[in-house]
Amino acid sequence: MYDLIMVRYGEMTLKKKNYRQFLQKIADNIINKCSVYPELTFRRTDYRFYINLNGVDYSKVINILDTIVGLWSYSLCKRTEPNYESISEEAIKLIKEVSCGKPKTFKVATNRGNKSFPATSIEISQEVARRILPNVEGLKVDVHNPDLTLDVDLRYEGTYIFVQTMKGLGGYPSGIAGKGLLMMSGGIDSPVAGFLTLRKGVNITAIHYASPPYTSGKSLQKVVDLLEVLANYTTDGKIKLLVVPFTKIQDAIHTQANQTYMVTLMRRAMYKIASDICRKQNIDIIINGESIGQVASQTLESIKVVNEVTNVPIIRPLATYDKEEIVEVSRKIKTYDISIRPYEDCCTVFVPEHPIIKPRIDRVIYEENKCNLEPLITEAIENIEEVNLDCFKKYSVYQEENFEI
Amino acid sequence: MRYFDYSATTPIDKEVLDTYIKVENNYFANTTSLHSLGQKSNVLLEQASAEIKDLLGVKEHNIVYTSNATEANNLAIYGIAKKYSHGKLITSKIEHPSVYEVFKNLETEGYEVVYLDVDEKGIIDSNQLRKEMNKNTILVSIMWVNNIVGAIQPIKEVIDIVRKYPKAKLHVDAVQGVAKINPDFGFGEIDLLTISGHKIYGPKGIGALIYHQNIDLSKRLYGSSAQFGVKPGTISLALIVSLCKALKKFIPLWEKHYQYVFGLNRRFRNQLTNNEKIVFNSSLEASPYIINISLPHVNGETLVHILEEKEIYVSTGSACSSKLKKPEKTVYHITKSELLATTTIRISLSHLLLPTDIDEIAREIGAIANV
Repeated sequence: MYDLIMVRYGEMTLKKKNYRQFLQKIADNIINKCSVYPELTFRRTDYRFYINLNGVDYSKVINILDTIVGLWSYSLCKRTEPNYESISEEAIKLIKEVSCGKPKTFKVATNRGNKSFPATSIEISQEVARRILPNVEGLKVDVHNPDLTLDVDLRYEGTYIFVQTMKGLGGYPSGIAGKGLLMMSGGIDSPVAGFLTLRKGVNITAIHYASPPYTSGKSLQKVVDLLEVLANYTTDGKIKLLVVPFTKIQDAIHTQANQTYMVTLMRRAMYKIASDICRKQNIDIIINGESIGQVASQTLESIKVVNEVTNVPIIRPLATYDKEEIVEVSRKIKTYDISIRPYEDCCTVFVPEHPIIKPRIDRVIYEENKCNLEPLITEAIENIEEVNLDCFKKYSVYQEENFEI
Repeated sequence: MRYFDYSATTPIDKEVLDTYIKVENNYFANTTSLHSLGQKSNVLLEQASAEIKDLLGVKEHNIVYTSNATEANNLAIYGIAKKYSHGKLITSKIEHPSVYEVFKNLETEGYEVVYLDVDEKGIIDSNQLRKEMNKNTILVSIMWVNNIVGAIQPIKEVIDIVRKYPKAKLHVDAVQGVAKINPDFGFGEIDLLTISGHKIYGPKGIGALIYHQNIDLSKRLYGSSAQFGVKPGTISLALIVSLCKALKKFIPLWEKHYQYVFGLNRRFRNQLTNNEKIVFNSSLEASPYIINISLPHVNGETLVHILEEKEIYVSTGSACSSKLKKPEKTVYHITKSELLATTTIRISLSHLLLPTDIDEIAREIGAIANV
């Protein structure tokens, strides 16, 4: 039914000098991810990217495009000859198929990139509409609020018509903006924070604090599974995960500090470790899923005293999101069902009944000094485990090598 | 010894048996245990289920493992019927007892059941199905390949008919077809699908009901929430992985084996087709794996025992119902002859047989017929 998919790039108009580099990244990414369908062929112009379907089911290609950041939208197109007869003939077929025979209101919008066509855009739209109307029963024109817009795209490289345009993920191609360290708990928020940052072109490394035996392999598996979903949205399908052994630090805080400060001290330790890794691995920012006021540790006062331990910029993409909005994104990017698996993570063990909501910095430092955390933090950093995740190859926490059935 | 009862059961494949032993030895922990040994088992269970879904193309389905196909068929039919207190159920007159008897029972509970007729080739009439479908129809259950005569039902057409009634679900018993016959439909298009391990060189004791995620089956057993709550109880990981292994080994080989067995089938027919004392109940279009014949002057059971003395093993009808001295249901509905239905035997084939085995059984049956 369709011949090709026309892809429009995202926010590139804001860029000037890097423009070409950005487009190259996106094009490489599309071609790379579409390589599972060798029948597809591609063509690039300055403003568009065309995928010739050559018989491949369009919905399969759309599924791939839905995982590529940096795309604004895509349209399913039919190729026609650059004349009224051919355009209107194909348009009638397309409208009938898309509207399933039910009458609709429509308009025609023409984009006349091919200036050799002997009429203005408005004239072309009017003429095409005039030719379509008597041939589709019940169809009416409504230029203000149409159910359906038929786009006629006249370009030097070809003439295309389309009625369906789907929105892409937007953002910039991954890796274009630098590197970020995502603090990943396994809840609903952190994968969403990761996705939103990734969408802005940031290359992500994830860090997870594990507290065995308080937390199980299942909760680590959950983090792995979440990151494998996120890896779908990266250029190469890969994300690196750093697992920090956090038990000793947590134990020390638990036994030696005032319990209301448990969470505050824990988070300070986490940020110290994360900043150290950023310094050692040349990572520019820390990303987390904090949302203002969501829980005791995410009040502005808490954020402030925790933030004191680091000078690495911390990006909080969800700072102003409501929980419902976060859930909505997590469903969209397919992390929600994994996030709600019911295992303990390092933030849910030893949580005091009444954590402090407005911690004071002098009191925090006093409590922290009681625990003598520095050697434990150094030890934790030395024992970080690195796991390379790949969205095409499921990693299992429980099996060193896969059982071949 | 010459074994011609592969539709009753198959010997286990060596690689499948090795898989069984390996899993039973190394993954004995309960898949629902929280500790890492249990989780290791659980990972393997999920891997096996994912591979089975891939092999069959049923990405949007759940798999519930059962002890055999009978259990899976019962679960499917009761699981749908019991969601409603009444309603119309449609099946055929030649279903396996594990389907047929369930419907007989549901009939006594007040459900309206229609048993579709079959023609002389054992094929249902899709027009009859079309006529019987209405908005009260809740379930249609049609087997893919008949176990007695090998008739292949027009499942693709059945799917198209049933699809027009959103309330109605389609159950297909695919036990005699999977890894043997090329389906002209997608398994993913079927709401509930039954498969079995021991018909495809897997171990006995494992079957599966594969049903669409959107379906909520009514419960028959109560217990933990394992297996979507519809089949609670500890699963046998080794049996499940072996089922997966058997599917993985034999699905890719179906075409090669089909061609070979088709040759064996025709070899048998060519030797006996001119014998007037032998009636072929299986049509030429049937599955080549099954040949059903009648020797009208010899009781089927007697025939089985005469052949047994020569160490040739065949079956009267279905092994599951062969202990009853009743006319064979499927053969009766196809031939409309009580005589043919009591003098029938089923010869079922495999890629493991040699042409000389075929010549041998053909010679013996020919000799008995000519007595």
